[in-house]
Amino acid sequence: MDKNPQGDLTKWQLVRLSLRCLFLQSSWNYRQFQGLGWSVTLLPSLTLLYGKKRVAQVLRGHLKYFNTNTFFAPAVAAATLSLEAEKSRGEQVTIEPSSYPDVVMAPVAAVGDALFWGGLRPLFSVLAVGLAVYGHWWAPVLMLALFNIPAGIFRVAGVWLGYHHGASVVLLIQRWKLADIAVALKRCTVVVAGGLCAALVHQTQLDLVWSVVSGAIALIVLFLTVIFLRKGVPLTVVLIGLIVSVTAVDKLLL
Amino acid sequence: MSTGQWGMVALVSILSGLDRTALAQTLVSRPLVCACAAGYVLGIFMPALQIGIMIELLWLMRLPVGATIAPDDTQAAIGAVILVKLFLPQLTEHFYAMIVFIVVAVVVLAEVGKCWDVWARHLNERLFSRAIKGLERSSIRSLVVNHYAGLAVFSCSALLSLLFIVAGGGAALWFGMKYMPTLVALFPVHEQWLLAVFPFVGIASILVVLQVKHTVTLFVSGFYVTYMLLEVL
Repeated sequence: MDKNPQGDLTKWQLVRLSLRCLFLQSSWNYRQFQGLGWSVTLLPSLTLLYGKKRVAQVLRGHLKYFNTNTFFAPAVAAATLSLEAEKSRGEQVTIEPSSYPDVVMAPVAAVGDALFWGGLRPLFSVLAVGLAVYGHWWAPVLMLALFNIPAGIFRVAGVWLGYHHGASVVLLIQRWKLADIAVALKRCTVVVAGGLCAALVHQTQLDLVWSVVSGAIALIVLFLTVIFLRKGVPLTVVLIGLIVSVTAVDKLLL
Repeated sequence: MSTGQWGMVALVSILSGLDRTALAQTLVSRPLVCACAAGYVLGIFMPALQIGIMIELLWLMRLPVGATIAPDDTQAAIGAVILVKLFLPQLTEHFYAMIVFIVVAVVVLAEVGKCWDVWARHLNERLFSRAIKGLERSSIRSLVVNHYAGLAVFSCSALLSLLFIVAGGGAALWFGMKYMPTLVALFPVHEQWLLAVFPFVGIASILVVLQVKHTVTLFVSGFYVTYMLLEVL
């Protein structure tokens, strides 16, 4: 691959960067976390910018500890390459391209993890389980679609925005108030979890009086389970304890 | 199970195992999804969906962030589906009791199964060292090869975890099968109650982690609104 004389990346190269980010964690390890994946993600673009002869030297600056949210990594990678492109053209850069990821990876990871792992995943997962309880075979497909549409948008748009906004892409992400959206999603998850709990109780198909009583009992047992888990009792112990309790109650009282 | 089915299940296991950490993270690794995929391949979709429901929420809030490694619920779900398929002829009499037994067994084994994930990540450290040495010699190829070799390491970890869960769960099932009629006679199982226990504990574990204001109010509101809607409908 020869050096790109304009020192700029094309749309197609940005799309390929986004695809390479899917493999960011392929060599995840305890020493450098995503470090090796990060440098391999940047490699073809850096080769275009600096040429084959200089790329090894440039890569040494990037092959170090790196760890961020995988859905926001394309934006950080593109912003880093934008800085590298400026540097390769001999322009003044606001921050060293190899230092930029060190500065932004933690705040970006905090926002991304809260949004995707703490917000979207639990919400869609609980929703899918609620649908699956009623035998809807398409519930897992819906879960995949609901999660991957925003994830895909962030992965593709992140590269585009990262490259065109450069280092200031983090300010753009900050303006979106994603942390607030994550909190709202968590609240929705709690409501949907309540709905799922109701669906599970309703499935027992008891008569009306028993149905109301079992609903109240279910809530009490649930909050007791929460207390046990909060006290640090292992999940498997709680699970087996509850199974034994349910069978014992079933045998003795019903 | 035919050789073709074993091959397809191994493929599902590898793809969903890679999805946990190494590749894309598209939620294919979630128990609800991978159990259904395995169930479809093995021709037992509805029991597989039930297993997915039971395991999906248990470790949902163990986030795949940084060095945190959650119990391997992916291979646990696939393992449970395989065990149902393998023991299907013997399961007919106490089908739901056996499903509960199988899921409890794989849930316990999933805690141990995460060791393979730890092993893979330690093995990747060697790949990283090799890549560093390669770069010192200005060998870019070594960097790329060692990075993508990590996919093979994670694939092996997924398969080993599945093998461990199927072997352990199979042994437990083979041993427990003899005592099942006695157990079921002592404790007659109300199926829907017992099957609901798993997502129920899952919901509790989600509430423990989700630290939002007015959790109790939101949860109880969601519960009673849904309950009334279900009664009306």
